[in-house]
Order: sequence, then structure tokens, then C-alpha cells
Amino acid sequence: MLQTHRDRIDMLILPGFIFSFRRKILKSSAIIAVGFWLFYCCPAFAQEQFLTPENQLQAGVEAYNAGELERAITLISKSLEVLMARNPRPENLDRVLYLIILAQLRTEDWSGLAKTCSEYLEKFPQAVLREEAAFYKGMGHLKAEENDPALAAFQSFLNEFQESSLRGSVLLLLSQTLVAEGRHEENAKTILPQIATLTGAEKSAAFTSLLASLIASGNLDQAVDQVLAHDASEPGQIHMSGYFLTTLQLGDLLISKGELRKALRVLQKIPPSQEIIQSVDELITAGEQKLENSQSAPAGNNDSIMLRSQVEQAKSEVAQLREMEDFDAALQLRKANCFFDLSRFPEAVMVYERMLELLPDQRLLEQAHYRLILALIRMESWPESILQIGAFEKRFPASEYLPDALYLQGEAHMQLKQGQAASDAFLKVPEKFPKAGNAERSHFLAAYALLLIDKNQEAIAILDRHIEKYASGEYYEEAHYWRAMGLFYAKEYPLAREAHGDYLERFPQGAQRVDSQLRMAQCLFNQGEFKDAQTELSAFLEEHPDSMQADEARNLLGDALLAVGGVDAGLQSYSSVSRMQPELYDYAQMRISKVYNALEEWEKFETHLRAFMEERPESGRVPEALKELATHLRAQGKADEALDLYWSAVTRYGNDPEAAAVEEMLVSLTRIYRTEDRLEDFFRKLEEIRSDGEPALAARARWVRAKAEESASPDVAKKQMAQIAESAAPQDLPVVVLADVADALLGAGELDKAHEYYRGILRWYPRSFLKGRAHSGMAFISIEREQWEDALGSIGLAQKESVDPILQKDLYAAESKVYLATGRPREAVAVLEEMLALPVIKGLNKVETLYQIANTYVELGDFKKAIAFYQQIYILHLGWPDYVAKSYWQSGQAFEQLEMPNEARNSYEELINNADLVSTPEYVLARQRLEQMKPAIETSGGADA
Amino acid sequence: MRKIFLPCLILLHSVLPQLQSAQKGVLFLKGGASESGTISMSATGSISLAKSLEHGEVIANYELDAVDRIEFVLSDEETKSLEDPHAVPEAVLAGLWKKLSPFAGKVRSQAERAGSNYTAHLLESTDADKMALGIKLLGQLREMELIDSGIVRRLQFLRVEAALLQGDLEEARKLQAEFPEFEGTDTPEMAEMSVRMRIAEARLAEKELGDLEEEWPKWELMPEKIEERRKLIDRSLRGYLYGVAFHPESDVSTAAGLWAAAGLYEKIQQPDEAKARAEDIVSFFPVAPYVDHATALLEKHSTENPNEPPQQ
Repeated sequence: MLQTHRDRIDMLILPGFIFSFRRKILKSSAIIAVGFWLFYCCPAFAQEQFLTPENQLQAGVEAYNAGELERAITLISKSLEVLMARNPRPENLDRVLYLIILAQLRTEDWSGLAKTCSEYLEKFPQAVLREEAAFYKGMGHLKAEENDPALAAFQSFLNEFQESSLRGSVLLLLSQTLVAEGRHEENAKTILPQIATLTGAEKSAAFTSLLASLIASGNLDQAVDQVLAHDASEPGQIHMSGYFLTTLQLGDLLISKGELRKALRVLQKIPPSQEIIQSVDELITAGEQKLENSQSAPAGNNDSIMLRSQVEQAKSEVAQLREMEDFDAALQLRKANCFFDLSRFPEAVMVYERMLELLPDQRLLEQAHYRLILALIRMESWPESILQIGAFEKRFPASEYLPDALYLQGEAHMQLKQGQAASDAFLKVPEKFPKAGNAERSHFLAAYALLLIDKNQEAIAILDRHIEKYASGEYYEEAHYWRAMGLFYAKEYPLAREAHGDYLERFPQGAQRVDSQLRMAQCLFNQGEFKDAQTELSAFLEEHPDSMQADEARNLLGDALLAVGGVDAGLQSYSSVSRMQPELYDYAQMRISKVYNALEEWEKFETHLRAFMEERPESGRVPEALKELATHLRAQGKADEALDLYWSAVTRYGNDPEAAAVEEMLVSLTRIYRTEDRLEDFFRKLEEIRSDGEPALAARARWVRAKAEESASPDVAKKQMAQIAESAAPQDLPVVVLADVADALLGAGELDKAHEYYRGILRWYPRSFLKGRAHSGMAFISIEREQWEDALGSIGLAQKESVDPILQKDLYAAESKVYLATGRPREAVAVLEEMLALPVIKGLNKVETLYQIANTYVELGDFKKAIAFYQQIYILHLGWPDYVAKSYWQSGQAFEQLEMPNEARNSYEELINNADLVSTPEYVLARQRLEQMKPAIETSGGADA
Repeated sequence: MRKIFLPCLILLHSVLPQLQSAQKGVLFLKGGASESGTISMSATGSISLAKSLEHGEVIANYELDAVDRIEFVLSDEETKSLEDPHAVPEAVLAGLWKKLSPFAGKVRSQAERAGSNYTAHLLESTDADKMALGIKLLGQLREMELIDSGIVRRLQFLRVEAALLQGDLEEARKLQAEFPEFEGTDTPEMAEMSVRMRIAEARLAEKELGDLEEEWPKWELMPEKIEERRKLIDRSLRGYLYGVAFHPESDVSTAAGLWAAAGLYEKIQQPDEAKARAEDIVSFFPVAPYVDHATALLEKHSTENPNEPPQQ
């Protein structure tokens, strides 16, 4: 890299050197002319021709003008020897000596040039052309590869000629010499203080040289500082292509050293290649235009030569940049990778995305796309990563990254709990890339993902294939274990036991051996083989008393023992359950209470439950314990104690809106007090225990009062329920109360308020089983407001959340209503037909639904289908005479629409012949219609008969 | 079409007081000719150019559609204020706008830039009165039919910012939707505006994030809200970090974006990410006031975790 870099510096600096050289030649032409005039026009010289030194000089000048440079040098040198001997410091002889300098320049006699210039500078300290001579001295040495004297000459020039217009060129030559000597540090030190004095092309070249030397000397921090401080947009930066290529190298070096933040900042200074090329092209075009114009202006020759060289150099640099077809992609990829490796994933994602959007397809883009996927995964942007993997698969179907990408797609689906999609994605890997490193793992995970969504049989099938296909694989053991678990989840206990046995036999030291042993015993338990289960569980506990599964085994053993009457041993087993896993501990405690209950050991029973509630007040099983204890106390005739127990729990948990069992306790208390005809006492006591600042308890008190009124005065109860909203915000209400209040508000037509309270269920109890009720309430509100699309949205959510069949029925009805209201009868009728399949649709509900379906078909002009539904009513649902009559009548009307008068008449006649239908309005209508039809039928001659 | 009502010569100084905001400059006519002198908008809506003669002044009136542009002669400070409004005192911005405002929306000149710079400066102020003045001025500028499309776009952008400042999210969203795509960031100013626009978008997303968390206090238990929230965070971060990803040359706005991102990361309990952005400000975009904020944040974290090594 360093060599390349040095080459570039040569390229950049040499033209400047040559320009200066030529410029000097031309500049000196004027001086030559003066010399020429001196030789030819001076009478003293004219008188001494041929043999005299003067004549030799004249001949030398002529030879110079004729381009016979070697001869010119010889003649002039000889004449000068004599002339100088006569007068060591004669006036005007400096110009003669300078003529030799020019000749040597033209003959490229570099050593001679350096020597002559030294002589010139020494002998003519006051000469007009000292500056030029000093310049050529350095150049001569440099070209003669006499680097040390060259450096001394350039340094001396810079010291002596502070204001010289050649300073830039000298500086660049000095820099070139230092680079050639490998003295990068010195080069950097030399250029750095001078750079501010340069402009345009020279500055560009100097900066590139500086940057390269800083890199080569390992001063990367300084290089970074320079890049960050440099304004490459300064006018006239015709060499910016070279500069930015060097900057890119710096970026690479920083990346390789792990200095990613610095690399990033450096790379960010590089504009897109198009921008660089455009700027340089513009400068080149402007330069060429200038050159063209200057052809007709001889005065501009000097500048033109310099300009031409600059333009040529810039062209070569920009061509180099153009040749790098993937410059932009490489630059963007480096930046994005820096962001990625710095874990700045949002930034990385943006840059990768921009690359994919703007750059043409190429190898680097494949890498960028894959990295984008990785960044999205790291950001846990699962849906976006899934989309990108899909796009990647399409764009780069043969990519080496594809197996990994597909695997990640499976992972992303897993994170989104999309088991089937995850399994499908995982399966693609072994199917498409059987030799990929992750093929086996993917195959295994395809099965595992299905187990997570209870697709046990499908999972088992994959695992069977896995065991066959990857017999020596990394997941072979896991596959056996999970196959056995799949059978266990599928409740195939004999097969599961066999599979676990097989696992244990194959992998006696397997990672899942302890669990597998327990599951084997559990299979026996689940098959009702309690004795054998007990034996295996005891053996298990003996072997693994401290395992993670030990407490589960103790509970299971307790259950197995109780099942075969081993009460004491069962109690002992439950009692040995540790507190490590609270759910298992609580289960054991409740099982102990049940044993005491069964044994009627009341004291122990009471003591145990009280101790449990005291020890684990936060347990979800406290309400169950409380209820059991209270029931027991009441059964024991200790009603007051039972009441005290409830009241103490109400006092303790009543103001916690999330304590779900309080409502149940209050209802139990209502029942007790109602039985004793002391309801008012109950309400008074409720008022007493509630203090200010206990909104949940207050709301519960009002709620239980309204509930108590429900059977006797439903309207009063509804009003009381709705009134709770006046004093309690949704967040203060327990979810059950919230739902009841919302329903009451909806019933009272207070739609805004009802909406707020339904929404409260979703806001404050997002995992509540009442979410379906909230969505359905909101759907009904939207229907009231004729906000049909909102209604459909809420219905969809409610259907997803609710398992209550009555609510499901209402939702179907509501959905069909929306479709009918929005002119979509086909959708409406499809929903109603689905609704018919609900078990709760029976009796009047069913008749109403059938009638509605039939009417909708009439609306759709499908009279045959309508008739089929009317017939269902008057054949199968005779208990609903109103609907039977309507159905006969409508069926007749439908037949008439089908131009089937006889069938129509039959319908009307069946209606009027049914004694149960005499009092219906349709009876009269049918009779009238039959009267009207008679003559027509007679005339038609009963064609339909 | 050249339409010059020339010469309407009046050789009296007494006319001058009728002219508004006389300002020295060069008036370029559409035909290519140019005239120097004292330029002002006349009471009749045409442009008057007063030239000093030996014995008084000549005033020529030009119809607006005959004039291509005006280049006013400005002081060094005024010129600087156009290039870098942050580099001059507020009085210079205000003074220049006062002088040039009659020409805004009438003829191409430095007036519209002066107006938008002054407005932007006022809107950036933390002083409520100045901010209100900025909003008022923005309204006035909108009513003028400005000529420079770049300035018009900048004003549109400032409107979004102003709506955000006023907390009118609906208006901000509406304006943002109308906003043209700022991908043509070929000038430093457009790049700067693009970064600021992204930050404005990000602020909207962050506001939505706040609304979501307030509306759904138990969002952590709701998978659909978790996803919604994640998307809002992603939108916010993309907006805040757009500058550092694509236009680090817009250093002030990039620092502003990084600082906003750091704040968001703090809010969502990702202190390491916040620190990383603060480090970036301190190392690479050390501009006020963000560098002080970032330094304070890093100090706070180093006090909390004294043994943690700093980033590279």
C-alpha cells in the first residue's frame, strides 16, 4: 500500500515540478534575449570574433538558439572560463552563466545543472535570477537522485525566498524527495506548517502527500485530525480524486486497527464518487476551455503549460476513480459495517437500506443486505427482518448467506410466536441447503417450533425424519428427547414412555435424562398406574433428591399415594416440597389442606390454611384457601368466624383493584347476609370498613349493592351500576366492576362514557379474560354511532378474545348487522349461516336467524335459497307461529317471484289451513292473495301442477 | 419581457422620503443591463433607483417584472449573517430584515433569505416572546409569495418546527405530509434542512411514543402495543440518527439529533446506547449546547459506574 501511495505522490508532484521548470525556461527566455542583445549589439564584443572568448560566447549563444545545446554549453563554458578569469565578478556574466543553466535543463544534464546553479548562486549573490537558480539547483539534484543535496537545496530555497511564487512547487518537490527517502515523518512535519499557504491544485497535492506520510509514519490520529479539518470543497481542488482515494485508505487502515469510530468519521468525509467526478470534471472542462482560449493568446503560454499539466494529471486521477466501479458501494459498506461493528444498529440499518435502494446489484450489495438482516435481528425488529429475508431470498437466491438468513427468519418467527411460519422457515434450510452448517439445527428447530404450538404429531413426524437423517448429528439426542415429549404432549402416554425409555437407553448420560425419568413415571401416573408410578417416583427422588424436578416429583408422588390410599405417605411427600418454586409449593399446601379435609381433621385443616394464607398472602391460591376455610367454618356452625374471615380479607385486599377474588368474597358475603336477612347490616358494615381514599373498595361496595338488587329490581341495579362511574375513574375499578359499569353505561345510552370504561378494561387489565367483552362493547357503541369499519375491527378483536358462546352469538349478529347496513348482504348472510352452527343458537334465536337469512337471500334475489330457509322454519319450528306464518307468506311470495304460482298457492293454502296461524296478519294476506290468484291459475290451466 | 418605464426622472431629493427602506445596491434588469444606486420600493409598488449626479439625484422607476434581481450592498456582518446566521448577533439579523423586507416576495434579492434566517433564529430561541415573534413572522412570510423555492421549502420546514413548538401535533403531521422529499441534499443548506426535518419527524414519533405509554400504561403486557412502541422507537431513532448516518457535515443538527437519541435511549432504559451517542457528540460534534449536555450525561454515568471503561 505504501508503495502505491508513494507512486501516487510522484504522479501528483512531478507535473508541478515540470510546469515550474518549463515556466522558468520561458521566463528566462527574456533574459536570454537580453544576453543575446549584449553579445550581438555591444561593439566591444563585435570587434573580437572567433578567437576571442567573446566570439566563443557569441558562437555559444548562436548554437543555443539553433538548439545545438551541447555545443552551446562547451563554447559558453570556455568563454566564461576566460572572461571570469579576467574579472571574477563581472557584470552581466550572471546572465551568461544562466544560459548554461537553461541549456543543461534542456539537455537534462541534471548533475551539471545542479553544479552550475551552485556556481551561479555562489558567484552572483545579487543576481536577478537567483530564485530560479536556487530552484533548479534542487531540481537538478533531485533528478540526479542526489536526495540529500536536493533536500538541502529546497530547504535553503524555502528559507531564502519566503515570498516566492515557486514556494508551492518547491514544497511539493521537497515532499517528493522526503517521500523517496522514506522520511515520512519529516515530510509531514515539513508540509504541515506550509499547507495553509497553498491553494488549489498544489494544496490538493500537498494534502494527499501529507496524508500519505502521516499514514506511512503511523501517525493515524494526526491523519484523522487532518482529514476532519480539511475542507475538500475549497475551490480549484482538481486533485480531489487522489485525495479521497488516500482518505479511503486511511479509513481502511483504521478499520483494520479496530478504530471504528475514527474510521467512520474519516469515511464520512468522502463524498459519493459521482460528486467527486462531477467536481473534477467541471474543473477539467473549465481548464480545457481556458487552454483552448489561450491558444490564440501567446501571452498566456506560461499559464497554459501549467494548466495543461494540471488537467492531464486530474484526468488520470479521475480515471482511476472511475475505474473503481464499486467505489460507492465499498464506501457505503465500510461505513455501514463500522456502525454495525460499533453496535450502532439503527444507523447501520439506515445506511444498508440506502445502499439497497440506490445502488445497482453487485457483490457488495449481497453482503450489505445480509448485514442489514443481522442488524434488524440485533435490534429485535422481527417483522422487518422477516420481510428483508424474504427480499434477500428473491434477490440473491444463490447467496452463500441464504442458509443463515433463512435460519434467522425462523428465529424471528419464533420470537413473534409464529410457530408454523418458524417451522416452515427452518425447514427450508435443510431442504434447499442440505449441506449447510446449520441444516441440522434448522431441521430440529422446525420440529421444536411446532411443539410450541401444540402441533405435536407434525413435530413428531419431523423428529422421526431427523433421527433417521442425522444419526450422528449434534441434535440427535435432543431429537430423541423432544420426540418423546411430543408424544407426551399428545397424551400418547404408552408411546411417550417407550420413547423416553429409548432415550435413556441410548443416552444414559444425556442432558435430559433426569427429566426423561420423571416423564416416564408421569406417563404411568397419567395412565392411572399409580402403584407403578409411585415406585418409579420414589426411586427417582432417591436418585435425584436435589434436582430441579424433585418438587414436581414430590407433588406427583403425593398425588399417586393419595390415589392408592397412602394418606400419610402422601402428606409426607407434599410436606417435603420446597419453597424453591412457589407454584409447586402452593399446590402442595392446598393438597395438604384437602387431605385434612378428607380426613376431617378440622383443627389441622384450619391451622394449615390459616398458616398458608399468612405465609403466602401474595399467592394466587389464597382466594381458594379462603373460600375453603370459610365454607368449613360455616359448616362447622362458626358463621361469625367465617364472616370475620371474609371481612378480614375484604379489609386487606378490598382496595387493591387487581385482587381478583374480592368480588367473589363480596358475593359470598351477600349470600350469607341475605340468608340471614341482614343485607342492610352487610351494606352498613361495608360503608364502615371503607375509608376515604379507597376508591376500589368504595366502588366494590357500590357494585355489590347493585348486584344484590339485580334480581329484585334490575332497572334500579343498572342505574346504580352506571352511577359508579360518577365517582370512580376506570383505573380505580377492578376489572369485573369495570365491565359491569361499562355495560350499564351502554345500556343507559351513555356511549362516550361506556366507551371510556370498556377501553379501561384494555388499558388497565390487558390480560383480563374480559377483554372480549370490552371489544364487543366497543363494537356495539360503534354500531350505534354507525362507525361501521370501527365496529368490524372491534368485532374481529372481540371474536378473537372471547370464548363466551352467548357473546359470540351477539358478535355474529352484530357483524351481520354491519354488513347489511353497509350494503354487503352476501357477507351478512355468510356470517349468519356461520352463526347457525353455534350450539347456543336454538329455539327462538335459531328461528330468528333462519328468518333473517331467508329474508337476506330475498334481498339478494336468490329466491330458491330463501325458500329453503323459510321451509326450515315452517317445517321444523312450529312452536313459533308468528315466524311460521311469516315464512309461509314469504315463501309464497318468493315462489311467485320464481313464477311458480302453484307452489306459491300451496304455501298460502298451508298457511290458511293451519289453525294455529289464524290470528296472524299473514293469514289474512294469504287468503286475499289466493283470491287474487284463482282466476289466473285457472286460465293458465295449472301448468305447474 | 422587458418593460421599463424609463426614464421617470425627478431631480429632487424631496421625493426620497416617500420611498421605503432605501438601500444601496445593483439592480439587474431582465435584458441584462444593470444599474447601481440607492434602491427602494416606491409607494406605488414599483422599484425606484436613485443615482447621485453632480447636482442632485436622478430617480428611475422600474416595474417589478422588468427587474431580474437586486444585489444589495451589505456590510460584512450582514453578508456573514446570510451565510451563517449563528455567527452574528440577533440585532444584525433583525436590522437586515427590517431593511430588506419590502423586497421579499417582490423581486429576487437577499431579502427572502434575510427573512427566513431571522425567523429561524427567533424560532430557535428559548425566549417565549421571541418564539412568538418568530411564529408571527413566519405567518407574514407565508403570506408573501416568495420567489426563491429553496426559501419556500425552508419556510415549510420552519412551519413544521413551529407547529411542534406550539405542541400542535396534528398541524405538524399535516405539514409534514405535505413536505417534499428532501433527498436532494446537494447543498449544505439542503442537507441541514433534511437533517432537521428528520429530527422533527422523530420528535413527532417520540411524542406518539409518549402518548402510547400514557394511553396504555400496561403496554408491557400487550404484545400489539409492544410492537407499536418498538416501531415508534425505531422511527424516532431513525430520525434522530439520520444526521450522523448521512450528513455529519451538518454538525449542529447532527449533534442535536444525537442528543435527542441519547435522551430517548435514557428514557427507554438503554443507558449504554445513550452513552455511545453522547460520546459521539463529545468526540466528533462538540457544538453548544449539546456538548455540555453530553458531557454531563457521561459524567453522570461515570459517577454511577466508576469502573466502567470509556468507549474507544
